[in-house]
This record gives sequence, structure tokens and C-alpha cells, in this order.
Amino acid sequence: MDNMKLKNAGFSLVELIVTMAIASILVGGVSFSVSLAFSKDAARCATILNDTLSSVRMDSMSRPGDYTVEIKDENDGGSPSKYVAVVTCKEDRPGEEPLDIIPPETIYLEGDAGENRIKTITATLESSGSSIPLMDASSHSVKISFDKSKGYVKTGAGTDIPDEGIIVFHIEPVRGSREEDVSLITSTGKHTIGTY
Amino acid sequence: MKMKNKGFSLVELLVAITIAALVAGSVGYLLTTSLRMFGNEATDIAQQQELQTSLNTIIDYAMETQTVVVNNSGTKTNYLALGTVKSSDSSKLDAEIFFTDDQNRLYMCKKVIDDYEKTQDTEPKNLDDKVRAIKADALGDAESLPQYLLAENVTSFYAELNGTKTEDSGKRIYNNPLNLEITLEFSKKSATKEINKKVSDKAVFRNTLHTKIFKNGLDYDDPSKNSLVLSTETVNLEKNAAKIQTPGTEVIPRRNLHILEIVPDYSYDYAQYAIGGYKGDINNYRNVSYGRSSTYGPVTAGELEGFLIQTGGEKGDEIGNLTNKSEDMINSFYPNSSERSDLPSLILTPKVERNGYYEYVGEENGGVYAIDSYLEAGNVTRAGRGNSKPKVKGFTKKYESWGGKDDKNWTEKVFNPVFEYCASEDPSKDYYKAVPTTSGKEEYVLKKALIDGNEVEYYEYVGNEEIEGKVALNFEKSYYRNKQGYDKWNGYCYAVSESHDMVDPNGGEYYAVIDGWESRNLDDPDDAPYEWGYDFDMSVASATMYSKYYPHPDKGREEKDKKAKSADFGWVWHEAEAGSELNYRINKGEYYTPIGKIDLGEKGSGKTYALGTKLYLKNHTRNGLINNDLFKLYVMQDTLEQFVDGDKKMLDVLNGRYDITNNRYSEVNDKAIKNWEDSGNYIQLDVRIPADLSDEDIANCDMVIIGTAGDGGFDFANGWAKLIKNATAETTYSATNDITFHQATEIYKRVCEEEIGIAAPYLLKTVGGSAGTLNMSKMYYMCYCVSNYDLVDSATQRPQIAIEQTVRAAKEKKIEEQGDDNYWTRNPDYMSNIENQVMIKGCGRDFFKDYLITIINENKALSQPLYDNGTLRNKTSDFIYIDANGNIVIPGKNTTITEGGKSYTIRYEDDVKPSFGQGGGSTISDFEYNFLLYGKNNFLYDRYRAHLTGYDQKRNVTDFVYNPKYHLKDSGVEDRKNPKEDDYCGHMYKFYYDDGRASHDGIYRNMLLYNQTSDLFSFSMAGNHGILQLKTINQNSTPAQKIKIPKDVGEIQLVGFSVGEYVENSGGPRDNGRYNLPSDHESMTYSQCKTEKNMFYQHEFENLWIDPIEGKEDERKKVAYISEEELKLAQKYDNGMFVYILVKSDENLYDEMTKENEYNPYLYYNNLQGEKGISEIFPEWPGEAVKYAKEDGKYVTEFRAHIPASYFKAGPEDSAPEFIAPTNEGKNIITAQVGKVDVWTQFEKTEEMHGTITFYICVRDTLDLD
Repeated sequence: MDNMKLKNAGFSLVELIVTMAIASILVGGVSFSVSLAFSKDAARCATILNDTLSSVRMDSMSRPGDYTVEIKDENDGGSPSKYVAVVTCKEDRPGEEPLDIIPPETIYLEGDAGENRIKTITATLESSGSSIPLMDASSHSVKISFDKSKGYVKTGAGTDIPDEGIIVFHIEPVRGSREEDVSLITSTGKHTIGTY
Repeated sequence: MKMKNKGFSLVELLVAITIAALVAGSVGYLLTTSLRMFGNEATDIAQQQELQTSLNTIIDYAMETQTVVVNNSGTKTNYLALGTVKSSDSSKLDAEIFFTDDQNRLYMCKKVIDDYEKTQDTEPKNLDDKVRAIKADALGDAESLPQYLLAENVTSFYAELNGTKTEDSGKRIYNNPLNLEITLEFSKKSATKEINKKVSDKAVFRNTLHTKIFKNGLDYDDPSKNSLVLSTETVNLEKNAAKIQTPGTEVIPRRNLHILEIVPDYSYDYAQYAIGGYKGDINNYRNVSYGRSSTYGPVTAGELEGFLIQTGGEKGDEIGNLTNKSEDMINSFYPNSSERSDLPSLILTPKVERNGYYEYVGEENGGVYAIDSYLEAGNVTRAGRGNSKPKVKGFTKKYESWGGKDDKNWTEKVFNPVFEYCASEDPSKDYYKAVPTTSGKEEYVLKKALIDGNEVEYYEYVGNEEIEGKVALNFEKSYYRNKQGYDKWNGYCYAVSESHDMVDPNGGEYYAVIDGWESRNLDDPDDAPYEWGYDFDMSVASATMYSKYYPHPDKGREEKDKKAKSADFGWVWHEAEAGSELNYRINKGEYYTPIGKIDLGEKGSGKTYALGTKLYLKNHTRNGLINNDLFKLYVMQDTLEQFVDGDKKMLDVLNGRYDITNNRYSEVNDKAIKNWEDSGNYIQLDVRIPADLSDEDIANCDMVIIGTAGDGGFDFANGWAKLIKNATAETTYSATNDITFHQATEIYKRVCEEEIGIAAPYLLKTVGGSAGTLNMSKMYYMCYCVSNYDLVDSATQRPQIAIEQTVRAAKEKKIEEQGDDNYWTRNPDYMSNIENQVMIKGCGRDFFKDYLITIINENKALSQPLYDNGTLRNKTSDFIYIDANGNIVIPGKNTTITEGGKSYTIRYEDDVKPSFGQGGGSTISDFEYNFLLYGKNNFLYDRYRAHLTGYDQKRNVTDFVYNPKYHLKDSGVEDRKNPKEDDYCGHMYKFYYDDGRASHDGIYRNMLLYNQTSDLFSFSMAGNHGILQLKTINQNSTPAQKIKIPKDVGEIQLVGFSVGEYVENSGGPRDNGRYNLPSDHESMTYSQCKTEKNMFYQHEFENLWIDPIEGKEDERKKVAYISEEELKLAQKYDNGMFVYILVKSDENLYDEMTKENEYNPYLYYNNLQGEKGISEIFPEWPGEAVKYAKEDGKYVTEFRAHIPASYFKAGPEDSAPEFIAPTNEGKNIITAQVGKVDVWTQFEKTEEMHGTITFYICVRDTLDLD
């Protein structure tokens, strides 16, 4: 039995260090992954929105019909939000209702339908030092169309965009803290993720 | 048990680690590389896209620019400004300024540049400085700068403007076209490398002229000048060469001369074009060079400013006439093949509806005909390849249609290609010569023959036409597409016409495209590029539709489409070619400014929108400019006098004309016309009011020239043009078809109120014109007649003489009245007087002043009978005149006119009616056309010998005389120089001519009635079309046109009924009465209410019928309207009233009827119930036709219609009879119309009518007749 010596020494220091190191790596990795996943929501939304603007702008300039993209909260401010971009293409006909050249297309800015990743999307027109809210807590929709010839954003009477400037879409996710912007220069139609 | 705790050896460990490291490294490398590649590519693509987008943006603006400012330092552009004059304020410029900053960003700053001054000799004032300042401001405003951002990573931005030169004087001169070349370079660092992109493009654009109306003439700021000047507004670009555009013309259906919209290339000092000619476009195709110097050399697409008016025209009636003439035409069109290379081919192709499909046939439409003729003449050269020898000896063609966008199955539609086999000395060179025919496939028998050693199927013509040995090649399309086909038909080509449902398969319209031809050689491999010629793909529709909207379904076409996109050239749109969407865009001006729409007629078919044959020309094609000089709508005389010879020579004017000797419809005079007086050409002119003509413009003009289109209009216009020129009108204001009713009345007002001048060509032709034009024209016509009614010399028959005499006499009269200095004094220094801007006054003023203003001011607009929109037939007007006391006289029964101490009584009891002649029936255009040709073409002259205001009956052709006041009887006049009252003719003579091309005759007369109760009284002879015409007026009053029906005419309700068409066969003497019409003013007798309950009007219509034996077709009309008194009565009946029309004969017609015909005795009653009776137009009117022959044989036909009480609803108390306000809520428009529904065809089958026909119209409270 002498040989049956109890080993109550516990973990050795080395073991402990190794264990803690592994544990910390695991914990850190998981939380990073979670954080990363959350932070992608806004970025993903921004990407979708930016891509949508690109697509609509190009289609406007190259295809028949009057393209319009409406960015809106389908839930109209309710909870949960449901941000979508609805792309329509109509043919304006005198004396008649506009004709849909293509069926309206709904693009889910939050990812897929039914997901709730985006807390709010606001749109603000930054114009020569002033800020004009286009889409905020009170208004949950903004429509944008592009000039067919030159691709600039149509402004002025009859459009949702009152003046020239830069439209900044600010995207705030439900989870995570990373927010994103999408900027659209009205006079040129140029747009990007982020701000100018 | 020895434990083996050895583990891995060092070597093993090292090997393992090494392998692991290698694997990991490889994977890592791959990952990294892939990511970098992806990143590079993504950057590359993004760069390319942004670069291209930016460049496109700049180019887009450049294409529209009217101003270019480029400021360069070496190869760096400091800024580029492109600007257009602000439409709302010509002193301002809408500018886009492009510049970069030191962070490689390209900005586009859109600013309005104020105080933009442009004189005719200088560049914009300080424009460059202003642009520079704007740029500096923008760069200095860090907060706003980003909103101008156009692109990033731009490392180089360079714009170069070519096409300028500096004169010795230092003045910068801009040539045309200008060439703005933009180069952009981007550089962006991607994951691993610097990605550089460079693009450059150039915009070639004209030294843009911006047409604008200035109020104050040449000196814009001279308030003392109050003339309306259609002036060109230029921007900073000067023009150094004389350029000219001629006004567009009315393109009139049928055999008329057509003048094309000619827009010589500004960049050249010399241009030439041809005008006229049968199917004038053909001639123009051949002759228009737009070219350099005086050559006939072709122009390239890029040089083509904008051109082509395709003839409209009747789409069916012409076939027969044309077919047999085609060879002559071909020969005359293309006598010299060397002239036929590289012709631009903006061909417009109206269609013809066949049995269930649309066919685009050459014979019926000039444009297609041009192609057909061109091809069929065997003269197809290689388009785009210079003057190479014609390669193709013959061709066959297929016309195919395609049922719609979703129907990709091509359906063969045979277009009657007929080919004549032609043997050559060398049998291997036998060929087929295409011969046009209108026969269908069913007239051919399939046969086989040996051609070039191959057995070939062909169709032999077995139809009734006198054509022998014709072969129709009706093979499948693939036959020509595959090698076999080309084996057999080596060297032949084919032309394909396709019809597509363009945009909307359901509601869209068809359009046609002529694709061109293809040709292959036997020796060519299958995949060898084939020759394809005559670049039909320049056709607007094909280029645009296929390339921009829908890819062409036929492979291989895309490539061709690229060759010539008319959209790239950007001028001509053809409404018929544009589908709903595009069409609308055109109308919106999104693509092309519809300011220059040209009405080609035939719009009345009403079947489809696309059938409306209108052209839309770009804005600047409409109006002209001469050396920065005063703009005016140049009439041809101006052109000839100023630009065909002498110092300013820059133009050859060729003309097409009718070749009497060879009896050809068209011939081109290759020798340019050098002067006006001796040209002997007959050109119809049509100068137009721009669509954006405003009331203010009208209100500020001093001179109005109504340049109307019309056959013969040229000759008359000639005289008028002389007047105008001689009268030193510095500004002209021309109007025809584009003028609206409202504008017409505005002009009237001006004429009346302020005595502005007015002048116009005489003979008015309104085919294809708008209702407004017609109103204008007719009114002017009346005005003219009034002013010149005493000027006809019956001893001289020539219209030209008559015109000259008329003009002279009118001039003398005016001079007498107003003094020699005032008016119509010929002044050889015309141009200098233009510069002096001497105002003149024109003919007709008094009339307008005295009469029209009364109408207008009393809130009773006057509308002449409107032309028949469906048949495009015109009605002519009787005229009103002013008597010696200044009273407006509407000729009526036994009206006595006192003049010069003489009194003449118009004895209307003899149905003598004043009328001014246009031909009758469907050939009214023929009449006019031939009128047009009367001059040198004596054969025509011999046939007509018509006066302007009177006709004589001479020789053995019955000519027409209508005006008893001025026309002496043929016999029984003792002293023709001093005739007595009774010496004047009291009859209306039939106008007749026997030109084989004109199968009808007869004279129309229209009535001008002044309805005492209507705000707008209008009627039409055209049955249902009459209603449409009123709608046309309404259309002209749509908010979109920003015009309104004059004065306070409220909602127009059309109240009308068809009184049908009645044809008489009295068998009376031709020269007396048989073709007479009832008196115009007998319609006044309608206004006699016999009883309160039965407002029954009766009128004897003697001589109401036209002789059916000669196949004449005529139209008759009557107008009934409700008088004030009757209106009051009608208002008493809550259930409304009934219109009852009855036609009776005083002879027993029943006995002539068979039993089968009982109660259905006369087929022409169909006119009353009509295909579209009034009840269809107004469903609330339960109209019905009741027809029967009673045993007494007297009742011929009846028509009844209920008029709801609402139509008679009273206005405010006691206001109904008054004219001041609309008496029934503005619904006082009463229209009567006469149906026109193929009467002749039906009547032909019946026995002759005879007896005295009585025509009753009553408005009653019951339908019971008895």
C-alpha cells in the first residue's frame, strides 16, 4: 500500500495555467464570435441597401420604366421592425394608372423575411449644413428614384427628396453596437457604405 | 514489460512539423492569394464601373450642352463647365462644373450662373471667371463639397475641346461639330497592387442653337421694337457659317409634293437638298446630300443632323395607281446609280392591315416604297462601302410578322414579291428583277425552273394583272439563311421587314422595321461575314427598340444594330414606331422634343395610336438660323432668294415635280433652282408655330403670316410671300397645323384689336391638319376672300394671273386706303427693311377687326366646319364678306351686295352658292394637287382653268363657277365689260375634271353659321367624325396644352345628329343644278318653330342628290340647330326632346320597289342608322333609324333620336336666350353633322332616286310623326 500514495496535490501550476489558457481562449473566441455575429447585422443591412441602390440606379439608367426604391419599415414603426426595400418599375401612362413593367420586388434589409436584426434605419438629407430628416421615428418610409439619363437622385417637387445633398441612411442593429451608414449623393447618384 | 515511452524520434517530429508547416503555409498562401485576387478584381470592377459612370455622366451633359468652358493647364483640366440656358430666364445658365481636388476626387457642381450675357458677337460675359469662382467656392466649402462628389480616386481628368479656331481678329470661332474629349484616369490601391484605369470618350455635339422666342426682335433689349421674333438663342458659341433650315412641311396624303425637314449640316458651308417630288422622301433620299460642297456625296450617320419625314398618305387607295407606275418611278427616282451609295435610311414604314396581319408594303408608303424602288431597281449598292458597284441584281424579300412579344414564332407573311426572270448574255448571270405588284400570293402558282443549273422553285403569276412571267419567291426565311439558299441564289439578297409588338403585347402597337438586305457569295464560308447593305437598321425603331429596349430576337442583329442607332443621333422619332411607353416619353420630351411634330395625315383612322403618323423632330430642327441673324421661319422664297445664289450661296434647291411629258408622278430636277421668280416650281410650304408659342408671344407680335400648307399653296404663298417681303415685314410669324384653335383666336384678337398685320398664302389646305389649323385657315380664307372679292378677272383664266391680279388689286386698294408708304409697297430693299424692322399691316385686318372681334368679344367663338378626320377630306367654306358699309354679311337668300355703284343680288332661289373650290369626294387632294401643278403643266391647267374666286366654263371640260356676283353668264351678256345685274351667273356650275387619277369631283361647300345660342357652334359634314372633330377642339384645350377654348365657353357638350348623306339623281342638266347644293343659309329656315309642341322644320331640298351613274361621291350636309326660342321651348319638356329627321320624295317610290324591298326600299338609309350612329356616340341618345316605303311611296327614311332634357337645361333665370353666358351651363354646343358612310357604294345597288326630296328636321316632344 505504500505505493498507494494519495495524490492530493490538485492541479499542478502548469496544468492550471494550461487549463485557464484554454478556457480563456474558448471564452474569448465565443464572445468574439457572438460579438462578430451581432456586428454583422448592421453591416449586412448596409451592404444590402447599398447594393439595392446600385441595382436600382443602374436599372433606372438602362431599362425602360420608372424605377423607384422605397426603403421602409413594413411594420410602420411597430415592433419588431421590418425594414425592406421595395423596388418598383412603372410606366407612366397619360390618363391612366401607371403600369407595372416589372412586379414590385421586396428586398429584406434585415436579412431574410421574418428576421429582426435591425432596430432602426433613419435617413437624413445633409444639405449645406442642414439636416432634413427623410425617414425617422415619425416617418417610416422614403422613396428614391434616379434620373434615367444621368443617374442622379431626383429631387424637388414630386419626389421624397426635397433638395440636393447627401442622404445618409443610418442603420442601428437590434443586437450589438456596431452601426452603419450608407451615403447617397443626390446630385451625382454616387453612394457608398459609410459616409463621405 | 518494458515500457516503450520512446515517442517520436526527433527526426519524425521534425518531419511531421515540416510537413505540417508546409501544408499550413500552402493553405495560407492559397487563401491569401485568393483573397487578394478577389480584392483586386472587385476593386478593378468597381473602379471600372465608377469610371465609366462618371464619364457617361459628363458625356451626357456634354451632349446637351449649349455652353462649354474648358480651363486647362497643360494636360490637367482645372475645370470643365457645361451649361444650358435656363429655360425660364435666358440670362441665366444652368451649369454643371466638373473639377478635381488634390485628393483625387472628381466633383460635379451644379450651379446657376447669373448674369449670363450673350450677345451675338461676344462670348458670355465673364463666364470663365464665374466658373472659376464657383469652383473655388465649392472647394472652399468643406462641408458642402462632398455632395458634389462624382467619383473618387481620379488621378487624371482632362477635357479637350476641339473644333475651335482663332481668327486673325482674335475672335474665337467654333466650328461644327464641336468635339469634347474627356479622359479620366483612376488609380486605386487594392489588396496587393495599384489598379489603374483609364477611359476616355468624346462627345461630338453641335454648336448648339437654342431656339427661343424673343419678344423684341433682333435687338433683344430694344423696347421700341415690338415684334415677335422666333430667334435663336445662342450660348457662348459663335457660328461662323451660314446655315439654314427650312421649315417643315405639311405632308399631305396622296400625290402631293412633300418637303422634308431639311437640316443641312451646320459644319459645312454649302448644303443642298431637294424638295418635293412624288413621295418626296424618295427624291430626297436620292438628292439630299447634307453634304460637303455641292456634291451628292452621302453623309455619314454622324453627320446627319436629323432628317426624314416619311410620307404619310392614304394607305390603300394608292395601290392601284402606283403599281403600274412603279417602273417609271424607279427610273425617275434613280437614274444614276452612282448617287445611291450610303444613303441614310431613316425609313418609316406605316403599315397596312391585311387579312389578319399587318403588312408593310412599299407601294403604299413612300418610305417603304423608297426602299422597294431602290432595291427593285437592282441598284443596291453596298451601304457603307462607298461607291462600289452594285452587287446585287435582284432580291427577294419576305415580310414577316410576329404576333407579339411573347410569340416568338415567326409567321411568314407573303408580301407579293414578284420577280421577273431576266436572262443575260452570260447564262450564269441570269437574274431576277423585282417588279412590284400588289397582288397576293394566291395569284401565283408554284413552279420550278433551272437557274444557274439548279432547280429552283418559283411562283408564276397567274393573276389578272397584265404581268407576265413574274416569279414570286416565297421561300421560308431559313431558305435564305442557310447555305443551301445561298447556293441556289448566289449573290441575291433579301430584305426583311418585321413587325413586332414592341412594348406592350396587349395594348402596344406594331411597328415595322426594314432590316436591310444581306448578300452572300457562294465562295464564302458559312460563317463568313456577309454583306449587308442599305443600312436599314438606322431605322429609328430598329435601333432603339432592339438595342435599348429589347434585344432583337433574331441572332446576329445586335451587331448590326450597333452600327446605327438613331437614338444615338437623336432626331427623328416616328410615333408609329414607338410603342406606348416610348411614345409617351417622346411626347413628354424625354427623348425628343415634340415641338416639331409633323402631321402626316391619316391620323383619323383612329384605330391605334401608333397609326397616327407623326414625326417628332428635335427642337432645334424646327427653326432656323442664319448667321446669328434674326430668326424667321423661312419660306422657300426666302431660301431661294438668299441662299441659292450670290454671296450667300450655300444651297442648291432641287425640286420634284410632275412630269407631264412622261406622265410620271415624280421627277427630280437635277438642276438646282437658282432663283425664285423663274423656278416654276410648286412647293407647298408649311411653317409652323412652335408648340411652345404662348399667348404672350402672340400678344406681342406685329405681323402674322399664316403659312398654310396645301396643294397649290405654294403658288398662292408665292404671291403672298411677295407681299410680305415687299412689305418689309421684319418678323414673320407663321402658323399652320400646329396652331390651336385657341391660338387662332388669340391671333384674331390681336389682328382685330391692334391691327397687326396678317398675311397668308391663299389656297388653304388642311388635310392632316388640326382642327385649329382648319379654323385658322378657313377664317383666313374668308378674310382673304373678303379683301379681294373684286379682283377676279374672268377674262384671264390662269390662277396665277388671278392671284397676281388679286394681289395687285388688293395692294392698290390698300394703298389707296392707307397710303403708299404704309402697306404693300414693293420695296426692293427688303432685307434692309428687315433690319429696320418696319412694321407692316396685312390683309384681312378690317375683316378681323370688324367682324371677328365681334364674335370673340361677344363670347361666341366661331368654328368653321371641321374637316373630316376620318377621310381627311376637306370642306371648303363659303365666305362671309363685308359690305360697303362695313357690315358683316353672311350671304343669304337674295342678298344684295352693293359695290362700286353696282348692286348684285345673289339669287339663292337658284341655289347659287358662293363656294371656293376644292375637289369633291375622296379626291379632294387630287384637285388640290393638280391645282398645285397648274402652272407649266398645261395639261392640268387645261383641265381646271380654275380661278381663285370664280370659275368659268370653257372649252370642253366642265369647269366650275360658283360666284354669281363675279361671274358673267356665258351667253346673253351684251356688254361684258359693263355687265348688268342679270348678266351675272346665277348658277353653280359643276366643277369637273377628268384626270384619270381623280375619279371624283364635285364641289363642297360648307356653311358658316353663326349660331345665336351657342357659345361655340361647330358642325362637320363628316358624320360621326364631326363629333370627333369637336373632340379635337377639346383636345386642343386640354390642360396639357395649356390652352382653352376661347372665352368662357364652358364644358362643351356635343349635340349632334347625323342627317346623313343624300344623293340626288335628278337627271338635270349637268351645268345647272345637278350638283347643286342646298343653300347654305336655308339652314336658317330651320329656326322656324311652327308650334310649341312640335318644333318642326321643313326644308325643301331640291337638287339634293348627286348623280350616281358617274360614280361620283359627294357629301351633303345640313345644319340644324336650336334657336333661342326653341331652346326655351325645349326646356319646358322634362323628358327632353326628340330629333326627328324625315326624308320624303314627292314621287311614288314605292311602286319601284319590289316586294323584297318593301320597308327596305333604299339602302342608303344605312347612313342614318349608320355603323356608328349617334346613339353609339351618345349612348344616352336612344336613336334609331326607321325606314320604310309607304304605299304612297313618299317616305324614304326617318331617323329619330332622343335628346335628354339635360341638353336643354336652362341656365340662370332669364339668361337662356342671352349670349353673354352659356345658356345651359355652358353646354350650348350644338353640332349637326352629316354622315359619311359609304353612301355611294350602297346606293349604287339601287334604283335611281328621283323626285323632289324633302328633308325634314324637327325637334319635338314626341316621337310620333303624325
